[in-house]
Amino acid sequence: MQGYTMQPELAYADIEQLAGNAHSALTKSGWPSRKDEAWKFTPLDSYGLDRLDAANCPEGEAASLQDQTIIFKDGYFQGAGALDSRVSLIHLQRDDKLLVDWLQLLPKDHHLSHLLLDNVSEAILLEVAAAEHDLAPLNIQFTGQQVSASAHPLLLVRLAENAALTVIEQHISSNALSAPVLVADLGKSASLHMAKLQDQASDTSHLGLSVLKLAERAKMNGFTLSKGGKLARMESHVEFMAEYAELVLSAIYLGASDQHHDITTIVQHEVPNCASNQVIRGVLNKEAHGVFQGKVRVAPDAQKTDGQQMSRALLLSRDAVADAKPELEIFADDVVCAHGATVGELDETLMFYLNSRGIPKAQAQAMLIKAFLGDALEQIEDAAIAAFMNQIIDGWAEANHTALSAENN
Amino acid sequence: MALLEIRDLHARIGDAEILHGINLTMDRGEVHAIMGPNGSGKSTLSYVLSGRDGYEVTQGDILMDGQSVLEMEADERARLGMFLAFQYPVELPGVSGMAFLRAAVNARRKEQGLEEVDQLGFVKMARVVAKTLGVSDEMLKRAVNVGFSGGEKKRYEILQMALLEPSLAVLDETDSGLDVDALKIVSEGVNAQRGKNVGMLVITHYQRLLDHIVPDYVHILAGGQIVKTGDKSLALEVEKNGYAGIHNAA
Repeated sequence: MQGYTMQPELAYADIEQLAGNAHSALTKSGWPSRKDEAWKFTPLDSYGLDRLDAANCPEGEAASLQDQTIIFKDGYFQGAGALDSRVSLIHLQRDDKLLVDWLQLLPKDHHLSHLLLDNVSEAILLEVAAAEHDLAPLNIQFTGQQVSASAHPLLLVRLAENAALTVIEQHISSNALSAPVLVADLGKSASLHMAKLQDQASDTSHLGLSVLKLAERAKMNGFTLSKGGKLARMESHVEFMAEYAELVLSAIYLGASDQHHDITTIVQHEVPNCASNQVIRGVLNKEAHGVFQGKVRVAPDAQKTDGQQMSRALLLSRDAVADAKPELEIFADDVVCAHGATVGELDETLMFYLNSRGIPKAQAQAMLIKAFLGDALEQIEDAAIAAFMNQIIDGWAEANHTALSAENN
Repeated sequence: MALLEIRDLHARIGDAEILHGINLTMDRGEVHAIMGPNGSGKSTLSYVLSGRDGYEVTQGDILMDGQSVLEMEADERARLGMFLAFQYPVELPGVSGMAFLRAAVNARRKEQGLEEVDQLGFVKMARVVAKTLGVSDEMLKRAVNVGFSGGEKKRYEILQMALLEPSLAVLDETDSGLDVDALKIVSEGVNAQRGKNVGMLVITHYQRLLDHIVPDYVHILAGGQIVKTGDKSLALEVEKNGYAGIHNAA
């Protein structure tokens, strides 16, 4: 288990040292393979990612943008619309001392950390102050047009005490590989609601890493919808730094053709009285492969921890595969923790009931898929974001109804 | 032209033939009861009529208004005007009752060339009908059949029937699991929908349902065939002598 609290001997490292070490590690290890426990369901060495170079900084700037909008392109900051006065945007360069401090928070000896450190050239830091009013949701888009290159955008978010922010991240790039990293540091009683959509071009890969640190009474609500690309791994590391913090992580993956979606979470309860709830749902069509790996670690001191985790996958095709690896590592004795994972098919009895009411097969299947995903969708707090995600899922369900192929069998 | 004509219907599930040549003709406005002991093929008949996957017709035909429905899927038959009230209505967690009812009604309306009903208009419409059947607003708001009692589920079936206005309603053991009061409410709901435009096929094991929904004809189903047809007095005969007596006499 990697720890990623700040290590004194590294605190004085400069960016060249960090990058150099990461580069050596990557050269030595190569892409993780099936033999690597953390990657056994998602062996990157079989996806032809080897020869990629990081994208160049694109020329020009984004045209006038809407308020509360930030654009990344090819991994680089492209511009922002007018932001709420409580949000400060700081464009950090590679040699900025502040950047090095943030990079210390990345998980150590981790492939995705190395990938970022080897390629990082800048970052966007958002500092959010507490506000009397609710801030409008911040819309962050990750775009990219260099189709043979990799993108490594880095987003850093610091929420001051009592600050609250809602963010929607849309990953819609055409870069061969997008490897975005988010590091969020939630102050005391701060609240971050973050919804991510991964809807990249069909022949691309996505290797995302989110690192979340929660101070006392902080509230984190993260939702992820992974539906694009050919290979996607969306990994979250959450650490409770002080008591009475709460985490909700929900995720939905929708797999079609031969797509591979991987949702991986590591939640570390280091202190008492914190709660984490993970709700994962996946629907897989054709030869798609879905993976959920979730580790909940409860340290010896973390009494009164409430750790819940439930993953369910729905297979629309006999050739689809779902893997789940839930892990609980509990070293405290006064905790409430539960986990579970199921894989199933659409229930014929339910389909027939809907059909017997005249509801066509495709529509009936979409209704049952939506019902299946309901528990995860319900975790989204922002109504507009929920409506947006619902629409994406409706579109997917419509495009992936299997009624016709089932009839022909 | 007859509303429903079942001609020499043979059907099987897997390798087992359950129906061995059923003949039945029903006109609009009529109520036919099909009575039979357990294992006689009653539920199979209702599923074969409604087009459930896995039930294979090996011989014969089913015609609605002179048109064969054998090649039609369950949803197509329903949009054409066939309705099956389930013996055991299924729960659909996460499927909003209102969304479900509206999807069903609009699917049928679309087929009939009528304009689809919008959400607001539908809520009003559903509430009015629901009230007559003792289906509360609170039930309407819930997910389909989730947390409903046996009686509530049956009332919800009859509500669907009232909203869909079918031309052919197949009621599969609608009385099962109902106490006397619930049976009365459900029967009143069914009777309110009797009329010249709808034909009803009431499938039941017991005569007691037919005290409330009085049939024009009674057919006795045994061993996958209709062994006797008569008027409502036949049901009373079954009540008195049991199925064995009827079957042996035939």
